[in-house]
Amino acid sequence: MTLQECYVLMGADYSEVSGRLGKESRIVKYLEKFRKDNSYSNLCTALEEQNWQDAFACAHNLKGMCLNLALTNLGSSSGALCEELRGGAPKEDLSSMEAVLKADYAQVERAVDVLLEEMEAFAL
Amino acid sequence: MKILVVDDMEINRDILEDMLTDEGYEVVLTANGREALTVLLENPREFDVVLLDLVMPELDGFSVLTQMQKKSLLKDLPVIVISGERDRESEQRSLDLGATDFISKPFDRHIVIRRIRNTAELFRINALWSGRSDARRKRCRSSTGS
Repeated sequence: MTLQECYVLMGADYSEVSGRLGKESRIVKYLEKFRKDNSYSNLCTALEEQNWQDAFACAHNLKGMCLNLALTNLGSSSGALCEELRGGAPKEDLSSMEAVLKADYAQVERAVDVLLEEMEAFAL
Repeated sequence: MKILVVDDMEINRDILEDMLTDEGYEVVLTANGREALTVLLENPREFDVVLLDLVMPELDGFSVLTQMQKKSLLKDLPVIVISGERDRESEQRSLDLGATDFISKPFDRHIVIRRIRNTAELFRINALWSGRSDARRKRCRSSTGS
């Protein structure tokens, strides 16, 4: 899988990220770091515990990373959740937003994992 | 040129570090506002520009700007806020608290580098003119004997 194909699978914008950040090897390095980052798992925990302040901070971090890496779909769902949590307890039920976020994250997770596995296999 | 980067997210710090070192800048990375203030207070004359995130644990970007304005050694140091907050209030508040410029995420290397260069140049010219004004004031004082 190429990085461009990975971006299509993630529902993300390759031309945008390459225009802004340049080198392909660096974008792969950032995606690898994204996979190791715990903002998403911390967000899930905070939502489960209804710790709205932590949930906002995690959603905000996730949104920031997605913006920088042009992860369009995940950036949009984490951004929507972030806005809902701004100022504390949400006014609406979050279950549908959480479902979209989880689906978007799973899409990114799968695509990045396949990309990194294939790159590792190719390097061996 | 030496730049202090303040961002709690490792990926964001990495992206900025790569962009800045490509340009030949020296970069120091910090992960929150408290750490940044400690570094700045230990080396107040060492940095040319600070790149500051807003939403961070420990001490957020607004508090860093407020603290910097209270310290005579830091209040003239140029700060460019780089934030995922894209609302007018955050931008206005940052500028009111002494930030020189405001860049919204996502980072674009051309824009980040250009804004840093412009900011550093403006501060260099400003410092030059301040020095000339001081010298002129001293000359006036000595010629009038006051």
